[in-house]
This record gives sequence, structure tokens and C-alpha cells, in this order.
Amino acid sequence: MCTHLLPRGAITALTVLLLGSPLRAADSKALGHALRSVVRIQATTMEPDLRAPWNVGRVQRSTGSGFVIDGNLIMTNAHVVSNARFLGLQRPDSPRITPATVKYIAHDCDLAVLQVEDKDFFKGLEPLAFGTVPQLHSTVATVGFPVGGQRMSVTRGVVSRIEFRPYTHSGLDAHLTIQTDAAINPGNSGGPVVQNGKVVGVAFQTLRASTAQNAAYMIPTPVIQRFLADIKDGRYDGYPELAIGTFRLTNKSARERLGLPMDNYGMLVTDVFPQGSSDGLLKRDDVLLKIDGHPILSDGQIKLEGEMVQMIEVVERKFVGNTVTFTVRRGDQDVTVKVPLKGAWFYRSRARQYDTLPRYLVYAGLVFQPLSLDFMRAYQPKQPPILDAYEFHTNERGYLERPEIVVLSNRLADPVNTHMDRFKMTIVEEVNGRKVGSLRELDNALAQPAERYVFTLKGEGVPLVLEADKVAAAQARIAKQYGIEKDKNIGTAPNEE
Amino acid sequence: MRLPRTLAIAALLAAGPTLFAGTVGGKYEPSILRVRVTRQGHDFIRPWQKVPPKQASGKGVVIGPDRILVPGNLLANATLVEVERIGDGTRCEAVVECADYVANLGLIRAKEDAFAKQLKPVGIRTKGKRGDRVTAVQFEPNGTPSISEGRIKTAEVTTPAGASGRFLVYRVSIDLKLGHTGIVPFFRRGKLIGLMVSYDKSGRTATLIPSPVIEHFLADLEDGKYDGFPEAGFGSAAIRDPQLRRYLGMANGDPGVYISQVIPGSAAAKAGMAKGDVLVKLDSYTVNRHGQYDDPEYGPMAISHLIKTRRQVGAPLQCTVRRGEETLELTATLKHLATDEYPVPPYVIGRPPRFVIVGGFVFQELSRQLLGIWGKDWRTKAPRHLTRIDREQWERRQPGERVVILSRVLPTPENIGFENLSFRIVKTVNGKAVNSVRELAEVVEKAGPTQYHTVLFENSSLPELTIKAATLELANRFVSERYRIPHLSQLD
Repeated sequence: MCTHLLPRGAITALTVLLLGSPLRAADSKALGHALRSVVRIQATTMEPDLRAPWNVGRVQRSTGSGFVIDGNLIMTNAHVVSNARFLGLQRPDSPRITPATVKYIAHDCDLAVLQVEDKDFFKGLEPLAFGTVPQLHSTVATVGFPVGGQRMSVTRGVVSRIEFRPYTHSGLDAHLTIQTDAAINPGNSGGPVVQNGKVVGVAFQTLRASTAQNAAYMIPTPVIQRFLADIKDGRYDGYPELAIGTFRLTNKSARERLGLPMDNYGMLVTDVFPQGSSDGLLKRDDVLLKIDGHPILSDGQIKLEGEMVQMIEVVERKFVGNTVTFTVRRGDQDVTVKVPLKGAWFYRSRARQYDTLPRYLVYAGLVFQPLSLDFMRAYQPKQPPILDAYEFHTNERGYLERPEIVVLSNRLADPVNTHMDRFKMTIVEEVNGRKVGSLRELDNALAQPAERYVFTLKGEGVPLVLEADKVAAAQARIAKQYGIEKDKNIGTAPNEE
Repeated sequence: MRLPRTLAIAALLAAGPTLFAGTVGGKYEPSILRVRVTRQGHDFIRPWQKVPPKQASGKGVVIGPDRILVPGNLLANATLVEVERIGDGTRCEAVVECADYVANLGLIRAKEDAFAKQLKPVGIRTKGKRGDRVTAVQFEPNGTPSISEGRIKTAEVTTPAGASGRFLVYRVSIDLKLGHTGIVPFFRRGKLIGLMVSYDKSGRTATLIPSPVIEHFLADLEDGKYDGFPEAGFGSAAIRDPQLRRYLGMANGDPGVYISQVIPGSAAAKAGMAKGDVLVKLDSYTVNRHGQYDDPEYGPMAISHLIKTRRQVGAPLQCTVRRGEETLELTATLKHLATDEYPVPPYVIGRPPRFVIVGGFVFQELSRQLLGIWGKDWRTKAPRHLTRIDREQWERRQPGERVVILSRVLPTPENIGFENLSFRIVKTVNGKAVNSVRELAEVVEKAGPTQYHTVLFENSSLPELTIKAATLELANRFVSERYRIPHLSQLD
């Protein structure tokens, strides 16, 4: 018996032959020309490591999907192209990899739009149109390039659930999602989910198999359309926030005391965050009765376009600069309150950061970094002061005094800092009597000429003292020893954006 | 003529107790007793009831005609204490004289004179030092004594098993024949030198609550009032970094530790000590840079030994501190903080938890005992705002102010809408700050003609509770009957 080894050339010819043949599928009405409009995206990314923030980061490769939309653009997920150093697109009918760049990216709703310099790329590709929110149990098809093969894949399923859910890309935001049992796997991200030839969603995340089976999610068209409208002016502004806390007003005595009838309407405002949209306009103990004319039920639901949704959906569809109007019961009067909408910078430290270099400062071998979600994920600290700060800083308005929490995260051993291990994972409160409320304020404090720098740190009862002349001698030594080219990246604090 | 074998054995058995006395249990047997305790703690989740009773047992050492020394924790929430002879199993009920749950020492006495008279008290050896030979006395289940010999390795200050505070311990290098069998008394030349509370088998090291600590405990009882082990109420930290030393104006060889915390209302606070001071002397002893003084018996020892075990509550403690350029002489009168003086009591033993149920809203006082609901990992598992106030209690409260929480809501028709609230720290009731469950109950009771009682929480994101005064009695009755709660409050 003999084994045949196909010569290399032959393999290439065979592959081209297969790729060259037109892709056909049954049920073309459902798919429309989706099969001709979906591309594979190859991303080469560099992920920074917050534990060595001066390093460039490790190079990784990943695959995702995207589809052609009007204007010679490709739509995909933000998480497919985040931190990318190089993006390569591949059409279903060609082996060529064409470079692309990110035109707009929205990390708060996991969407991105790519542009391609080579205009010939789009020859023969049809842009896909968008549909509306599909009905429960209607059939949808997912098209993309998931694991399990090289060629385009089509899977089919039904719409299982339509609900507000967290978008894991930012780790902070939640928007409308559509759940389907169509198989969505790694590589499908960014690809279209189609019904009757139109895009009804962008496939983007799944539940772990250990948690549930056949539960995958797509970003529905209201979120997509809002993103496309937002970028029309050439800039992505992001989702605005009301920045209030509310409570369901169902308790009899509470309603009585506020002079409300025993009906099912009215939601209580318990918290109004300073520097947020509602600051100075809404008050604690206000009862929200209507939002943009829609009556609000005590559990926060309103009827919007025939569906019962959470009232926040009204804000979800608006843009920074728009206004939302509340009818409010305040004391014994009903008042109208107009709230101009903007973002809430003080929430953003709890969102994962992308496409930026980590912010840090190294001084005398001590590493200072701002506390953030990425910091927590990288270090997984257990020290109570850090965990407390992360949990309570925003809600307890710590951000008014200190826009950022600066953490002494690490010590790069050197004679100048030999006895300072005890200060690892403590929070910088003051330097030489000056409050430190951001990385920039720390930098400024250390730039002030002084004989010594005395740090007060939360989490350690003893002050940390560095003598200026000792530090000066140590800086070059430490930079060389630990391969640190840049000893700081102050960047912009969340309140400075 | 030889006796038939059976007859010989019968004769031997007939000789009975006289022949075997002194062999069952050995010479230590009349001095060491089994202690059996039935305990029934309180349910901190349902504070109106107790948890099911449990049995516990340990050993006690007879140290006087009316005194049996036992580990303190054995007596926690005890409803019945019995002592038992290891030799013949005779039992007798015992009365608890004193229990110290911080040092883990307790004293009981046998109720019946006839039983007590049969016991043989041992003395307590005052001074143990490195190298001393000691004897561990254990018993097999059938009463056979097992004696092991060892030597004292070191004397140091640490938190021994079962204690909640740092105390002097003896570390003894020994191979216990029966392994770790619970509390094991150690003797030297016939006198008690310590009670073993833990044993490291692979390191062959036993840790003992040593005689000096036991003697402090007994001496404290002499005036009829047990005060507890003294505390000065300051926290200190070593000053090793030369840059820090220069900043504090300390030369290379200078002694002293940095005062990193002074607890409000404590002996140190009353004496005028402040955070940032450098403590250089305690009484006549110099405090070195590691926080140690030169103990006449044990050499360099942590200063807590001097304060805790070499002084009694009420004694003056001379503290020499450097503050900037000045040197100050401060006199602290040592005291022991009662659990009720803590904003978050370190334990609640021997009394029911305080609570009051108002219209189905269950209010309790926060304590570490309550935090224990989340298991032994409560420091990480309990809600953060509760562990934070425990950690920062002296910054967030004054001495005597306790933390009142809404622990849960028992749903009634009147309070529906708030039933999902749990474990929230109360800020004010009817506009007044409340520092105990009693205060809360009084504020509600003494409210003048009012339509609604209101409760505000420390967390600003939570709504104000509204409790209608007119229907409160009805709601309370609903709770008593529906939930079968025997009493709606325990104010003290």
C-alpha cells in the first residue's frame, strides 16, 4: 500500500478552486445576499499588561466577522477590533487579505465601523440593510466565520428572548439584547444575524456552556441604529446617563406619605449624583410620574411602541445633548423637569479601557496606578482598603474630592525603597500635606521641589518618606535595571475627558 | 499444690480497687477531670430563638479546693457543665465562676462537696524558661494515662488558638504519644506550667497558655471582680527605614516605635498619646525599634506582654513619648474595654442578641458574632459595608455608640414594598441618630402624635422606610402570630 502526498502547488490550486466557486445556500429569501456581504476579519492585537504598564504588551491574533453596510464600510463588534495593531479583511470569494482601519468605535455598546483604503475591495459586495426587532420565536440565521472550519458558516435558530442585559466588552454597560438559540461561536462576533434578507442583529456574545446551552446574544437594531446616528456628526459621543438612583414605590405607607394615589404609577428618586445629568434638577424623594409623556409604573416600566420596557429605554435611544422631560411629584405639587443629557464620567473607571496605553507613574521604584476595573482584573487585590474604595468611591461621592484613587501597586526593589514593602497595595491620600486625587495631582506634587516627600497612605498607619536626593540617584538605576523606558504615562483622568 | 488458674485470676480480680488504684489514670488522675458541656448559643439570624443545643468536652485541671481551670471557650453559652473523673467515670455538676473569652481561660467548681473532696489540687509553677523539661499528661479513652516529655523551646507573644488577642505562649518541643487530643495540661516537677491549646505534629511543637498568663487570670479574680487583661489602646509600628527615622528626628541607634493608632477613650487616649508620637519608654523599660522591651525573665519581648500580663487593670503605665522636638511623660491608667463599649462588639456570649421588631422590620445591633453568620470567612464573604464598619469602628463611631442595622424584613401587608431590604446600617429614626436597639425602641415609642415613623439608612441610595404609626400595633400582632415569634424585642 502506498500513500500519496499531494504536491504543494496542487493543494493551492485546489483551494483556489473551492474558494472560487460561488457560495450557494438553500432558502435564499431568508439570507438575501448576506452570503456575499460577510467578511472575515483577522486582527493582530497588542494587549497591555497592567502589572508591567511600561511594557508594550503581548501580541495576539484573533478572528471575527463583519459585514458590509452603506457607504463602503464594514460593521463589526468593538471587541473584534479593540487594541488592534493590524486589521486584515478577507472576502468570501478571495484569498487576499486587505488592510482596514477603525473609523468609529463604541466600547459602551460593542460596535465598530471599519474603513478600507482599497476601494476595489467593495466591488461585487452588496451592503446589507437593517430590519426591525424580530418577534419571539421567529427564525433567524447567523452568518460568519466561527471556529470549526475555514469557510463561511450559516446557523439557524429562533428568537428566544428580548431583554436588557450586560454587554461584557465594557464590563459596565447594559443595553437591549436579543437572545437566540442559533449557534454562535468564537469567530462569529461581528457577523450579521439576518431575517428576510435584512440584518436584525450583530452576533456578539454567548453564555458559557457550563451555565447554559444554546444561549447566544445579538445586538439588536435599535442599538445599532443609535450608534449609526451618533457617528453621523463625525464623532461617537456615547450613551448619556441620568445618574440617579431609584426605588420601586409599591409600599402603601410610603405612597400615602408622599400623597400619591393607590394606583400603580410613580417611581421614587433616592439618589442624584453630583456632576451628573440630573444634578440640581431632580431631587431625592421626587416621584417620577412620566417620562417624555409616558406614564411610569411603580416598578419603572413604561409602554413604548406597544411593548412594556424599563423607562431607561427612553434615555437609551437619546443622544448627548438631547433632553428628557419628567413629570415629577415634589411635595404636594406636580412639576415638569427638563433634563439635558450627558455622560457620567464618574462611572467610567468601572469600564474596561481599550485602545489606550495604561496610565502609571514610577517614582523611586514605586509604581502608582489609578484604581479601575482593569486594575482589579490584573492584580485581583484582596486588601480591604482597595476593595472598599472600589466599591464605595462612586456611590459615596468620593469622586468629588478625588476624581481618581491612586494606588501604590508595586515596588521595584532598590536600596531606596528597601523597607517599603509594607506599602504595597495602599492608597495615596496626601503627599507633603497636599491631597492626591488623581495621577496628575501626584505627578504635580512630586514635581514640587522639596527635601523630602512624605506620603500618607490609607491602609498603613506609618508615613512613607522619600528623600529627594536619594530618589534622584536611584531613578536612572531603576529604569535601567527594570527596562523602563518611560517612567510615567499620566494620560487623561476620567473627569478630564 | 498449684491453684487452678481460674481461681488465681478470680483472687486477683477480688483484690479489686486496692490493687489497681493508682494505676487507672495514674498519679495525675485526681487532678485532671473531663469536662462535659451542653451549650446552646443564640441564633443571630432569628434573634428571638436559640440554636439547637450541642455537646462539647475538654479537660480541666484542679488548682484549688474549689477551683478547676478550663479553657474559657469551652464555657461559651453553657447551659450545663459537668465534671467527670477519668478513673471511674463519676460525674458531678459544676458551676461556672468565671470565663475569659479573650484569653481563653475559665474557672469552674464542682457542686458536690463529696466529689470535690476526692480531688487533688496542683500548684502552678510561676517561672518557665527555655530548656526546662516539662511533662504532658494525656489519657487514652479507657483512662490509661499517657505521659510524654518535652522541653520549652521559646517564650513568645502571639495569638494562641482559641484566644482573640496576643498573649505570651510557651512553645514546647515534644512528641505527643497520643497526638492532638484537645487541651492537654503540662507539668513541671508536679506543678502546672501551662495548658496546651494547639499542637503541630510535623514540627513537634506544642503551644501552651503559660503559667504567667494563668496566674494573671487568677490574681485578677482575687478581689471578687474579674476585670480582664489590660490594654493600653494604642497600635504601634516599627521604624526601620532610615529615611523615615531621619524624618522623625531619630538617630541611628535611637529606640522607639511609631504610634500608628490611638483608640478614642482608651487609656492611651486619656493619657494624651497621639498618632505620630514615637514611644521610647514604658515604665522603666526602653522600647526598641522592633517594639520590644527587655523582659527580666524572657529577654526581648513584644511590649504587649508587659502591658497585658505584667500589669493588672487599674495599674498606671508610664509612657515616654517623643513628639516633634519635645519629650513627654504620659501616665496611662490601664483598663480593659468591655464588649459593650466597642461600636462593634468582638463577641456576644452568654446573653441573647439585642433586637427589636417594628412592624416586621427586624433591627439588631452589629457585632462580630452577627458577622459570623457568613461563616469563618466572613471577612471576605459578609457585605462590605458591614466589614468596613467593623474594621473602621473607631473612626466611624465614638466609644459607647453601637451600630444598629436593619437585618431583615418579615413581610406584612403594611411593609410590602420594602421586604427585599437586608443588612443595612441605620442612620436615623424619626430624625434622631440611634446608637443602640434600646434607643431605637424608645424613639419609636416616645414619638408624639405622628402619622409615620421614618428610618434613614447610611447608604444614600436607599429609600427612607415609612412605617405607619396607626397600624403599627396591628402589624406587630400579625408578626407575632403569623411568624410565631415569642417576643418582639430584647433590648438589653
